[in-house]
Amino acid sequence: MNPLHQFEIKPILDISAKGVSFAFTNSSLAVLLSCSIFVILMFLCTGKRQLIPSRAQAFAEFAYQAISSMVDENIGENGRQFFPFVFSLFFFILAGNMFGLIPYCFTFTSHIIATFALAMIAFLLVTIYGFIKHGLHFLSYFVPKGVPLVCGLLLMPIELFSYLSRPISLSIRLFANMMAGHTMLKVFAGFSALMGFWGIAPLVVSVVLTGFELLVAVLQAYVFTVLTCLYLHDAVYLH
Amino acid sequence: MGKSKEDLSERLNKLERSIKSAKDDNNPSLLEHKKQIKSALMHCGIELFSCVLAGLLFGLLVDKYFKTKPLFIIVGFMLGVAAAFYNIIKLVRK
Repeated sequence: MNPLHQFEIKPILDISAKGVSFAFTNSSLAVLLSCSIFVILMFLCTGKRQLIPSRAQAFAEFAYQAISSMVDENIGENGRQFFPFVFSLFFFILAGNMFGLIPYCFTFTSHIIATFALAMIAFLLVTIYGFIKHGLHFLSYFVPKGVPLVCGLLLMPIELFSYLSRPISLSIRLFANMMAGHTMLKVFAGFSALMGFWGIAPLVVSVVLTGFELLVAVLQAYVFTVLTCLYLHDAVYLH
Repeated sequence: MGKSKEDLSERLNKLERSIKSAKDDNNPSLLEHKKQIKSALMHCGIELFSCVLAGLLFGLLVDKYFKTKPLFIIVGFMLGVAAAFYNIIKLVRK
């Protein structure tokens, strides 16, 4: 009973071209399923556009409202153009995290390459948008405001490195939380399988941990998107 | 009579203290504060790790490209450590 066995990637459909593998794996299946479940849910929720919303429609409206206020608060007035990106990012991560909590399902956000790809998309968007909007003036972001020239020269490489570390810290935060939580769940589940009758004690712990994991799943999706919004704010307004 | 008065005031003081501590325990702002500190500490740890890693990776890539093996990895590491502490100072000030 290896607690890390759940993170193993197994190919379902082997596709390779010119020596590069494009295999459809259990991770791809998890991405496909979680996203399609969410898209179908949203379509069903917003299908009947009633003036007095049903519960499902109220859920969809709440989701829209929550992300919309997050964008307004963290990016600012010029941030409305990023709303579709932020909305998709939040619900992509949330759907992945929630899908992973179903027994026998794979959590694709517990792999650093998946979270790093997401973080890189956000990072590249911020950088490219910054250069398009401000031109070379965007580089002045690396010189802190109101600092003397000599100090500024010293602080510039430090600011540059802290900028470069953003995708790493963003991806590690999500990946570490998801992997640690799922490993812990599996370890306690393993205890209750091994201990026979007294396995009821670790079972109670794993029930509590599952609830905690639900919180972590939502919280980490929220943290990832809020940090992306803050970085986008930097690109829009500089400092 | 005097003794019982003293006794009463002492008991009242005790009660007040226990009420105050109970209020502090349920104080939402204090609880919020504790939560914020916890998340800030987590943030600090990840910041420390990722900045150093970014510096190291940058140094490694530059060294590989220009074949200046140990030079830029050391420079990158030092700048990464500096950036990590700079970020943590910024975070603490907030």
